[in-house]
Amino acid sequence: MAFLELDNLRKEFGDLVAVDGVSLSIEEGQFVTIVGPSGCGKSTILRSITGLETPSSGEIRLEGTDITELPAYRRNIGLVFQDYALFPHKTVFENVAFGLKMRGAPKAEQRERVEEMLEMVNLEGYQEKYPEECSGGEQQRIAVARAIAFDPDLVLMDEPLSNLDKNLRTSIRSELRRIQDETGVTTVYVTHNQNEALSLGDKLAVMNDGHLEQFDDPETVYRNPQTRFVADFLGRSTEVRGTYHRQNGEAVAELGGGIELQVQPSGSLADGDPASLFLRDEKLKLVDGSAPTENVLEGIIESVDYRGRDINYFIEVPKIGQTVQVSHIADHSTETFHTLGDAVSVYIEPENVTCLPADDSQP
Amino acid sequence: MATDHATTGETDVDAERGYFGVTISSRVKWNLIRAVTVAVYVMMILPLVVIVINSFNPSRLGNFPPQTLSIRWYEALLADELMLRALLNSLQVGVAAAFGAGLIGTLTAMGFVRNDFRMQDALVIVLLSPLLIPPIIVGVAATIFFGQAGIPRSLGWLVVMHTLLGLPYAFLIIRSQLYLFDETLEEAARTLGADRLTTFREVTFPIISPSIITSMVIVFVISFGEFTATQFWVKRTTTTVPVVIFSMLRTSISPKIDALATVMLVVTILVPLIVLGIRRWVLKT
Repeated sequence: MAFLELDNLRKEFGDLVAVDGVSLSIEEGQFVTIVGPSGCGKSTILRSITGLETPSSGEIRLEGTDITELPAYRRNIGLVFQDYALFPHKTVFENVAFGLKMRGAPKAEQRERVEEMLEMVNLEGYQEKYPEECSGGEQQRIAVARAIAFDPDLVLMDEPLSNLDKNLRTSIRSELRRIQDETGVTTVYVTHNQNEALSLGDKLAVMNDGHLEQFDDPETVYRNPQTRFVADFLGRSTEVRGTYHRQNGEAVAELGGGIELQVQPSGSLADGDPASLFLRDEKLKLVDGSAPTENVLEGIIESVDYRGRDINYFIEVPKIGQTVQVSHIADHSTETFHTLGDAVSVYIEPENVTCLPADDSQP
Repeated sequence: MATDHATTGETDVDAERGYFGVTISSRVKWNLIRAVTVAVYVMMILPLVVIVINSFNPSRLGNFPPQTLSIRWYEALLADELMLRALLNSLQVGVAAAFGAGLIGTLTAMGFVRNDFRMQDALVIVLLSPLLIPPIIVGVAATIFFGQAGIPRSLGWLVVMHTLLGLPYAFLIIRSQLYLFDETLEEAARTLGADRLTTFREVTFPIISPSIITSMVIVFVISFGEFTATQFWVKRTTTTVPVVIFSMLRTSISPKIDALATVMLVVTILVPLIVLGIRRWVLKT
C-alpha cells in the first residue's frame, strides 16, 4: 500500500475538465515533483490533496484512509503557497507557530519548535519580525518552516520558487532538497519549470491537459519519454516524422529521402507504423568524414546561436526537408567553430533516438 | 515643440494661454488660490467658533464679543434633565448603531464579495437605498410603518433606524477592503488546521478590522448628528441632541443651546480622534 494514493481523480469546473482521471501512488518519504504547462491541472491536484478543492470524482487515500471529503483543516497536510500567503498581521513566530497553536500545543513547545524550524531554514532570531520586513527569499523560507512546523504527514509546494529571481531560485532549490532530506517528510512539489522538476524529485510526474503523461524517476522520464508530449516538453529536441520498421532484429525508422536511423522504439510500435522521432539537441554530435557512417544526417548550417558556454547550430537537412537543432558545449581552446553555409554531418546514437507512435491528428 | 514645453514648464504655458482670455502671472494665481482656500475655511469654522465663544458668554442676550467668560450655561445644562437625557440618548443610540452597522455591514460585505448570486447588483442598490432616499421620506415612511405595526417610539426603534441609515456607509467601506483581501491567507489558515470561525477570528477579522472600525466611527458621527429623519421618531424621553436643539430654537434663544452645541461638537470631533488614536496605538504594539 502506497503512502498517498490518488485514484482516478477527476475535477471539473463547469465545462472545463481540469483533472481527467489521474492515478498516482507516492511512497512515504519521497520527494515527488509534478511538472506541466500552466493549466495542465497540476495545481488542482495539489489543492485537492490539501482539501482546498473537492474532486468531482475519484478518491484520495492517505495511509489507506479515504480523505477525499475531509475538510482541509482536519487533514494534517502542509502547503507552501506560490505567493507564500504569510499572515501580514502576525510576526514570523506567530506565523510559524500557527499550525501548532491550532493543535493546542503549549507555548513552550511552540517556542522550541519554531526556534528549531527557523534554525533549519537559516533564519535564527527572526521570531519578532513581521513578514513585510523580510526579503522575498526569507519569506519563502518562512512559508516552508510554517508548513513543516506542525509535523504534517505530507508537505505540498505550489510553485514556491516562481516569485524569486534566478540566482535565489537555484540556492533555495538545493535548500529545499536539504530540508526534505533532513526531515524526511513526504513532499509533493508542483512546478512548470523543468529544471526544478528534473533536479528536485525522487520521482517525476509529467502532466498535460488534465492527464498524467508519465510517472517515473527523473532520469528515466528524460531518457525514455513514453509520450510525444513528454519528449517535447522536457529538454529541447527536434521532432522528425518517419515510418517504423524492424529489419534483421534492428529497430529502424525511415525518414524519406533514403535516410534511415536506428532508433530506440517504444513498445507499442508495430512494423510499418508512422513514427515520431525526437532528436535531443545535446545528443546530436557534429562529426567529420572519418566518423561513423550509420545514423548520420548530412546538412548545411543555417544559423548559429553562440551562447558562451554552449553553441547552438541550426542545421538544414535537405533530404528530410527539416532543420535540426544541435547544441554542444563550446570548447574554446581547440575548436574552430562552424559558420553559415558549412556542410556538416550529425551523428546520434541509436539509444538516444526516442521513437514514438506518431499522432495522426497532428500534421 | 515638445522640448519647449519641457523646458518652460507647465505654469508658464498656462500663463501664456490665460484663463477666459485673461492672462495672470503665476504669483497672482497662487495668491488667489490661497485666498479662496482661507475664505472657505474661515466660513466653515468661524460660525462654530462664534458658538463656542458664546457658550462661555454670561450675558443672556449674547452681545459679541463677550465682556467676561463664565461656565454658567454649562451649569444650567447639567441642571436641565431633558438636555442631559438627550445627550445620553444620542450617545447610546450612536454607539449601538455603530456596533449594529459594523456587524451587519461586515456580514453583508462578506456575503456580497465572497459569493456570486443572482440579482447581486440590484440588491446592492436596495442596500444603499437609505443613502439615496431623502431622509425626510425615510423619516415619514418609518413613522407610518412603525405606527401601522403598532410599535411605540423607543430607543430601540431609533437604534434600528440609525443602524439602517449607517449601513450603506459601513457596507461600502468594508466591502472595498474585502476586495483587496487576499483569500489565499484564509486557505493558508485552513491548511494549518483552522476551521472557518477560527480562520475568521485569527486572519480575516484582524486584517479587515481597520475598515470596520472606520465605518463604525462614521456611523456614530452620522447617528449623532442625524436630525431630518430622527425628528419624526422621538418622543420626550427618547429625544436626541439635534432634535432638542431644534425645538429649543423654535421656542426661545437660550445660550444653553450654544453650550449643548459645543458639547455636541466636541463629541463629534473627539470620538473619531480617540478611536483612531487607539487603533494606531494597538497597531503599534
